[in-house]
Amino acid sequence: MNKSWLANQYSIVLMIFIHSFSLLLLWQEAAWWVAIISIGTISWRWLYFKGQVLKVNRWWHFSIVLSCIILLTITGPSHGLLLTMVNLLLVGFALKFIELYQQRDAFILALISILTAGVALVFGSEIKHAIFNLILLIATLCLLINICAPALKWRQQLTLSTKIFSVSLPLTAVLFLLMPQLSPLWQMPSIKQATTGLSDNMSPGDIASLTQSSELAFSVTFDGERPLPQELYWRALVMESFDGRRWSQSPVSKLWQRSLANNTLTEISPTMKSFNYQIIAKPSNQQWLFGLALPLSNDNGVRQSFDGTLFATKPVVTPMQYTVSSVQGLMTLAPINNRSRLRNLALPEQTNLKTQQWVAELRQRHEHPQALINAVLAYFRQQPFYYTLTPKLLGQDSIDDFLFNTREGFCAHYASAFSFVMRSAGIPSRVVAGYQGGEWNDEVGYLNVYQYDAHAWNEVWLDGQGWVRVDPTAQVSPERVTQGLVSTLGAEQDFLSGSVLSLARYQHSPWVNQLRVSLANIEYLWSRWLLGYDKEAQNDLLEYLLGEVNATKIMVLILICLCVIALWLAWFSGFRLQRKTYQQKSDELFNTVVAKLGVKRPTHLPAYSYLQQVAQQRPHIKREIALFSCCFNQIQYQQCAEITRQDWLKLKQAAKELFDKI
Amino acid sequence: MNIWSRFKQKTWSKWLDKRIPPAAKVKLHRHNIFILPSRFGAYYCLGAIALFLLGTNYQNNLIILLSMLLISIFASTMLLCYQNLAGLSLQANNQGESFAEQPLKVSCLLDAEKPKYGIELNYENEEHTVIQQVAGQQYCALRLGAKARGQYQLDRITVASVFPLGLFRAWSHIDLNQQVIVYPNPLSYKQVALIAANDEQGKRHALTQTGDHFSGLDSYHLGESLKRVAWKQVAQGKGMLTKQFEQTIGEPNWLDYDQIVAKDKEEKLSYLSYLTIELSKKNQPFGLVLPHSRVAVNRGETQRQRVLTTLALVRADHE
Repeated sequence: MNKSWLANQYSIVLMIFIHSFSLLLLWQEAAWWVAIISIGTISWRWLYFKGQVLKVNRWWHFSIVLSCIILLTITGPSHGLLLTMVNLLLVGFALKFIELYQQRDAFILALISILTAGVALVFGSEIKHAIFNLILLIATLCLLINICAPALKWRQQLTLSTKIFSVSLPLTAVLFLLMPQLSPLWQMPSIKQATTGLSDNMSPGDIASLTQSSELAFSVTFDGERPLPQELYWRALVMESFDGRRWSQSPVSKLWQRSLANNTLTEISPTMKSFNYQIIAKPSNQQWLFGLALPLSNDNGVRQSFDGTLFATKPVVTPMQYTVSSVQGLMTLAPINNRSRLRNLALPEQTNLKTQQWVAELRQRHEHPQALINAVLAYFRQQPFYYTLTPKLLGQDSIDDFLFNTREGFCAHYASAFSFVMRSAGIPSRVVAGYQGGEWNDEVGYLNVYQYDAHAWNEVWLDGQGWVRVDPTAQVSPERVTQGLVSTLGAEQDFLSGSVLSLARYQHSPWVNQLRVSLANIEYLWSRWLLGYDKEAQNDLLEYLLGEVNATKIMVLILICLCVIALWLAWFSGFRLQRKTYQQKSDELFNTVVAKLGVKRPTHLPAYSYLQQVAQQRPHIKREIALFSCCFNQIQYQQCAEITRQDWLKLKQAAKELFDKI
Repeated sequence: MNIWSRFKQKTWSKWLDKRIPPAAKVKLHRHNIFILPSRFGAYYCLGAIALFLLGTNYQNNLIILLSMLLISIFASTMLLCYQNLAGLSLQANNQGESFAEQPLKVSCLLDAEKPKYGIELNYENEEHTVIQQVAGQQYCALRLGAKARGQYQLDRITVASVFPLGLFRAWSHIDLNQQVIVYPNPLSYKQVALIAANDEQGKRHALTQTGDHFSGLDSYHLGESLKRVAWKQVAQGKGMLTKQFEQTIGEPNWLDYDQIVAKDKEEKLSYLSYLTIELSKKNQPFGLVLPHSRVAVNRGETQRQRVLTTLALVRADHE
């Protein structure tokens, strides 16, 4: 067997590169001991290759494998199935470095690396992940080429692997676009990781510093008219339970109802402005979805809860696209029922007494609910309240402490306090968490909402009006609503202080901002067209191409595509309609000459000797035979590449003269 | 196993003879190249399918895209693998001598217009020869295990390649119509049993002492004539030595089968083979006398080949 690749420094370096790179791709998922084992086996292979260490003997090998198995089983339950599989894959990858004996082992190594690349995509499918994967794939192709053809230089190997990759792209595109989009075949273990600005509960008093993330939460494209910036309240969660410190979703909101048909909206409110829009939600590993006012969606996999928000039937682990319609300002379809009213009035007893007392006084002065709301909002506006992302911690009675003592905080503090005040005053009220605002991109025409746009506000029930949105934070910091968080904080506070590398942090510099916007555009198109490509998009594409879709048309389309691609591949790989080579032609000519001469040729006799014999027998054509023989040998015994058309023409001429003489 | 080997002998080789007829020069093209996924290729496909399932279950388009890309790479590799073998031509090369009990020296001439990589050549059940790169013309020594003396028609050669990614194996079984004559293994023979050229009637006279120029002394070997023992040296206590004589160039010798002292026939032939080689090295004229045939006196490369061939083809049951 051919083993030269094992002694080839280039292939060892490639293998080490591939392994380290896939380890880096799965850095956050892999267990720490996997990295240690990897470093160990990689350095052993390098030293062994350099001739500085001995072969791993059987006992060592056995104990390493055994300890890996033990570590995997011990850590398995805490890591969950998915991460255990990832660790298993990486450990297998690392151990392969000890077991490189045959060509087969190197092939297995390459296969594991390809599988690792695929698994890494489970944890992230942004453009950067795709690029990393591409590098890994090309390097793996290089390794395979190196095993099969060590004679090639590394530059040639790289060129060849890139060529193989790029020539396979058209077929990939056709397969991807036309392959039926299947729904999940079975349940897979879910991924536990999320960086979102939202969580399903909120206890403002316990947060000293709100971490900001510039990651994209979702993108929106509007059909037709866009809402005003102050209307962009993206509702995600409604929190109705309060235990004195913490707001959380009530169990009822987990129940769902079938979303109403879109057209009921226009029936209910024909005069009001309505918006239709598509949202691409980034993976949050949560079920909540986003929408304006009372969002309605008919998409599969989207449900509506009783509190008027949308949620997905399964956690969103890959970008999810759905269509929504909302009517401006419309939050209620049915009157509030008794149970719901009680839920939205419930308060923990004997807490925040100072606030309750203050509310009682206010109530005496303002009887009408709207007037009371205005009075409370005025209080926020007139007293020295201050908007900050790094507030002081609050004491036992958090609302009392906030309203009368610290008077600083972010949206959650204001929303929490406002709801408490409303409930104390007997007005049903709840906290809504979601996102506010977003960044318009006019070039492509979409709105990007980032994690730092996360916001919390309130809804109060007013008889005759239904649920009405109130945003107490806007009283303190109006720019937060009209211009977004970035301009609110301005230079006073360190925006995105946690993430030095984030481009959003440097958006005051024009070219950085331009770069950031372009990247966002690419990212948007990527999610919209590649990650969001689903059954419906496939149908649309087919309808666009074929008109009315039926099975025959699809078959024809697939056949045409495959034929075109087959031709293109064949052309690329150097396949041409094969002409006979001059050597083959001259062989045939020689056979005709033998037939014309009528002298049988013994099989072992070379053509040259045969012609000599014939020439002796027939001296009258001796000259012609010699000429033919000379030309014939020229073609037969030259290198294929050096035979010219001239040689062939000469041979034909000689044959012609010979035939004339016979 | 019997059915398989019978099938292989009859149907398969007949089919192959029809499909790829024996020829001194064979060019590989689409009529004589076979191609199938290798074992690694099969595992690779399984991997791609596994990734497709993973992508479907997580509804992750990128993973699905990756699996499609892997399948596409598989497809384009098939063409590249075929193209790597197509256009390669092999030509029988009958130079080189082979002796019994030594690995045979067989080679062929490879010729390719475009460079070819990782070409594997082997005869059936024999070791592989791997050529990393073929560009233009080049000779390639093939490995073939030792055989007994005689004439052989060589098997088909398997030419194979897994280039570029090892996903496919393209191969061909070609018959270059090679015949090999394996000469008897030369064993060094001290007693120079040469026969002086005789009168025209062809009568033979064994001479214990060949040539006329004294060339030196050598230790005595069992079976050597006592007439050639240097008794003077024995008397001096230097041990049993025999006188050695050298033949002047131009005076023809006869190698006589009957005169060789050996334990059996094959050994005799081996000694004769050795003597033939030695004599041709010295460029002396010589002839061969076998019990039922003879090769006339001559000298040079042709004579050497003729004599060695005759020795190789002596029938085994020959007395």
